[in-house]
Formats: sequence, structure tokens, C-alpha cells
Amino acid sequence: MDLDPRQYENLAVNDNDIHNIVLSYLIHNCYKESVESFIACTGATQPADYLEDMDKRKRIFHFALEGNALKAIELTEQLAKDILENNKDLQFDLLSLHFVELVCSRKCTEALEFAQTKLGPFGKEPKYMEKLEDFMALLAYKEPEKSPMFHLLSLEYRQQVADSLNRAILAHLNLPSYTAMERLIQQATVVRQCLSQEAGKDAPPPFSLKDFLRS
Amino acid sequence: MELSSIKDAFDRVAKKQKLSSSKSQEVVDQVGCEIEQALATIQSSHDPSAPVDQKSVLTELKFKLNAIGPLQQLEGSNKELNISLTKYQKLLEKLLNPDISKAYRNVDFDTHIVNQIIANHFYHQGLFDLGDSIINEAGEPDAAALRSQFLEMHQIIGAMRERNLQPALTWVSANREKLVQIGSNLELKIHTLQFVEVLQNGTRADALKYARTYLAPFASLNKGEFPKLMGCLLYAGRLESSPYSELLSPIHWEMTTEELTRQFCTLLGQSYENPLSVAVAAGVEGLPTLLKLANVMAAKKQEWQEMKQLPVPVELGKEFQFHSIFVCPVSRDQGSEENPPMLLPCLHVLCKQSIMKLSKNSTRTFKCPYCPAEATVANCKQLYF
Repeated sequence: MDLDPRQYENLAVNDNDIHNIVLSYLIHNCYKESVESFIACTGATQPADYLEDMDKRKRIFHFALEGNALKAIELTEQLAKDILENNKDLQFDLLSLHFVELVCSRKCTEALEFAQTKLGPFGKEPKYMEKLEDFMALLAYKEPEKSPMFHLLSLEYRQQVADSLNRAILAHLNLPSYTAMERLIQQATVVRQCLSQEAGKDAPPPFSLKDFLRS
Repeated sequence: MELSSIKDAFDRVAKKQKLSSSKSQEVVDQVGCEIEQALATIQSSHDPSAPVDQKSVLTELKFKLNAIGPLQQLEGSNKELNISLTKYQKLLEKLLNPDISKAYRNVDFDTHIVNQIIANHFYHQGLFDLGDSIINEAGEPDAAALRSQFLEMHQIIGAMRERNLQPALTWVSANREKLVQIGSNLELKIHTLQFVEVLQNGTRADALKYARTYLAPFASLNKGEFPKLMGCLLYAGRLESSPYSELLSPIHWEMTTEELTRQFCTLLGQSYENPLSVAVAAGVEGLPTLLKLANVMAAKKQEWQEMKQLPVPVELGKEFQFHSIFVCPVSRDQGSEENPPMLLPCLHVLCKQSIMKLSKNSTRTFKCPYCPAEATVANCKQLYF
């Protein structure tokens, strides 16, 4: 059972706000064509320089997602030189994506050489050491996809790195790293959970976003 | 041996001796000083008009020397030293009793077994010429049964000391299944040593090839250790300036050599600790108690060697305990081959005799004395400690 609609149906929500929330989400995720269609349909205000930056971000994001990390690094440095210089974690993640690609292509000698020159210097810091060891362990397997470290080869891992890179670029462009949509959903979820706890025995079942979207 | 009490007594004597020596020196100095003063007084009388009364000077000196009382002082300090020395001598006689024959009983033993033990002791130590010599002289050809295995073990150890792991690798791969059964990861440890050598002296490609061929099979069994070894590849040729420099420590060679020796002996069914050394060490540790007992019993005109059980416990350290001892909680008897520990279905343990009593010689079911569970003799299993 959900909350009684009478508790919230009289709250007025401005259409413009809704449009801005959706638009910021589309821009954040580089859905360029959808952005253009959305602006055309709703007459929403077009943010300045958004198209050019979004194009570059989209290319960077896709290169990272495909595992072409060197290209992603090159384009990122063209867009903003100091992003990676100031974010060693991101730099490490992108370089490790390239290492994984070399391993998957069975270019083990090349992968080892790359690891020694580019990833080796990170080994001085203990926080990278464990991750680095896991990446290096991939080299031992004839079929790294079947190794205990298989998650490092997954699309989910590349998605995670691509998302981090996208957020870093957005922050550099003085845009929010997280979309208003994400934040609103997070806040709504927390509020609903708190309400459930306060209501005690009489509370509706715990809030589930999936169930809410289905209803 | 109670060496600490001997050392304490010795320290006390040494202290007294120093004290006596310094006291004697002090008295001699005092006497010398008085004599020199008297001499100076006598010699200072160059003036003939006022001659010094030598007699009065000497009388005064005699008076002063009597006041110092050098003899009494020296006697006192020497007396204390002599008392300490006497006590020390008695303590030495008491603790370092040269007649240890009182502490053992004459037991008939098989000379052949003793010869075998001594020969195997030499083989175990790697002294093959000595072992062969005793076997030939004593005419004990059967005692040479373990010679070839111990020879192989010492050849492997010798090679490892020269940084050659090939014989060790051959042995572990030949005994892989047995080693796995006893939960050993010796093979990985030896491959790790070899891998570190390749990392330091070979090419990067050699190291990678070695890791893929010999380390990869251990990846699933050693999830913590394996990635670390692979991490070393980042520092091929410069491991000493890496986070893994500790792998270059010679202690890894020493520890792996020791582990190989232990496991070689285990697979041979032999003790890693030398049996003869253990027996001698245990005897030495138990000796003071037995000597004391022998002296006490002799004073009471009793013969301890006739006793079936010693009236005092002979405490040996943990390193001499090789087997658990089971004492039945019902009968308070110690488990033995005739009366072994038995596991009840409820997982409580009693000795066989107690179970037979409780079951009226296997004629009926009985209740466990420690819980409400019922059992029959047929349901009980013998335990081996």
C-alpha cells in the first residue's frame, strides 16, 4: 500500500521545473538528439555552449565505455588539461582500462610493459597497491574472463569508470556532477524510508522505487 | 639444571670477594698512611737545637695502629668471604651431583634398536660416513633402510643452500598429491623463490612466462598471496626498491628449507626433531627431579626403582609433548591400548571399561552420564589420539 495520494496531490509542481529536471538529466548523459527534440517540443531554454561540450563529453564517455582509454584520455586533456592531473584515482582507473584491453586482446607482453611504465608509479601509494595486484593477476590466466578478477573486464566496470570521468568533466565545467533527477529520487527514497520507520507497525511496506514506477 | 641459583650464589661470592679485597686495601692504606706520617715527623727534625723524641713518635704510632685494629678488620671481612665460599661449595655439590647413576634404573634394552637409532641419528644429521661406519662395525645392515631417503633430503637441502631449486622442485612435483593431503603449500613456496630469482636475473618475459606456467595453478588456492606475486612483475629487475623488497630476504630460503625438511620427514614417517636429541634433552630436563627423588628416598631407606609409578611428576616442556592423553571423566583412568577412549553418539567421550560397566557388558542400552542421550556399545566408536 502506498501513501495516500490526498497527502500530496494538491502540491503544485511547476512544469518549467519538471522540464529543467528532465533536460539536465538528458544533458548530463549526453543524449544529444533527445535534448534537441525535447527543446523543440517544450520550448525549454537552451543552455549556453551545451551542445559543443556535450558532443565532446559524449565522445569521451563512449571511448571510455568501449575500453579505448587512451583516446578518452587524449580527448579529456584537450577539453581540460588539468582534470586528470588533479585526479589521480581517475587517471589510474583510465590507464587500468587500457591495460585490461591489452590483456583481453591477449597482448600480454605489451600489457606488462604498459603496466610497468604507466601503472607502476602508482604502486608507491598503498591505496592503489591492492587494485594493481588484481590487475596484474589477470596476466596469469590464459582466459582472464574466467579468472577470479573477471569483474575488471566487465561492462559494469567500464561504465563505472566512464561515469566517474563524465562527472569529473562536468565538475570542471562548473556543472552539477549529479543530476537533479538523481538527487530528487535519492531524497524521496530517504524521506519515504524515514516515514516508514516513524509509522512503526502501521507503516506501509518499505519504499521501493521499482514498485513505485510500476504503479 | 638450576643454573640460575648457581649463578646467584656465584655472584654473591664474587661480591663478598670484592668487598673483602677493597676492605683489605683500605686497612693497608690506613696503616701505611700512619707509618708514613710518623716517618715524616722523624725525618723533619734537621734542627739539632730541637731534636724530636723518636720514642714518643713511635709510641703514638703504636697507639694509632691499635685504634685502627687492622687484624680484627681483616679477620671480619675474610670470615664473611669464607662463609660465602663454603655455602657456594655446598650448593655446587648439591646441584651438580656428579653421580647421575642414582637417577636411572637398569632396563634391558635391545642393542640392535639402539644401534639403529644411532645410525639413523647420523643419517638424519647428514653424517652418512659415520652412519655407515656404525652399521658396518655393529653388523646392522637393516639399519640402512632410511639411508637413501635421508641422502636425497640432504642433497636437496645442499642444493637449496647453493640457490639451486631444481632438486626441490622435482621432489615436490613427484610428491604433489601427498603434500596436498597434508595441507601443504610447499610447492608454491619453492616456485615463489624461483620466481623471485627469475624476476631479479631473467627478462620480464621470462618472469611472465614462469608466472603463467608455474604460479597460475595455485591462484585459486592462495587468493591472498597470488596477486602479490603477480604485482612483483611491475618491478622486474628492481625488486629491491619496490614494495615487495621483503621477498628478497634470505629468511624465505631458510624457512622454506626448514619446511621442506619437516615435510620430507613427515612423508617418510620420521620425526623432524631428531629422536636421539629429543630423548637426551628430555632426560636432561627430568634429571634434577629424579636426582632429588633418589636422594630423598635414600634418606628414607626406600628404593624408588622398585616403584611402578613415580611419586612425583616429572614436568617436561610443551616441546616434549607429542600425544594427547585421555583421562576418562567417569573412572578417572588414563586411556591405554587395552582401555581406549570411545566416542558416544552424543559426542561425549568415555573409556571402554566405563562403557562396558554402564552397558552391563554390552547387554543393554545405557544413558550417557553427561546428557540424557541413550547409547549402545555398538554405536560407540574408538577414538585415536
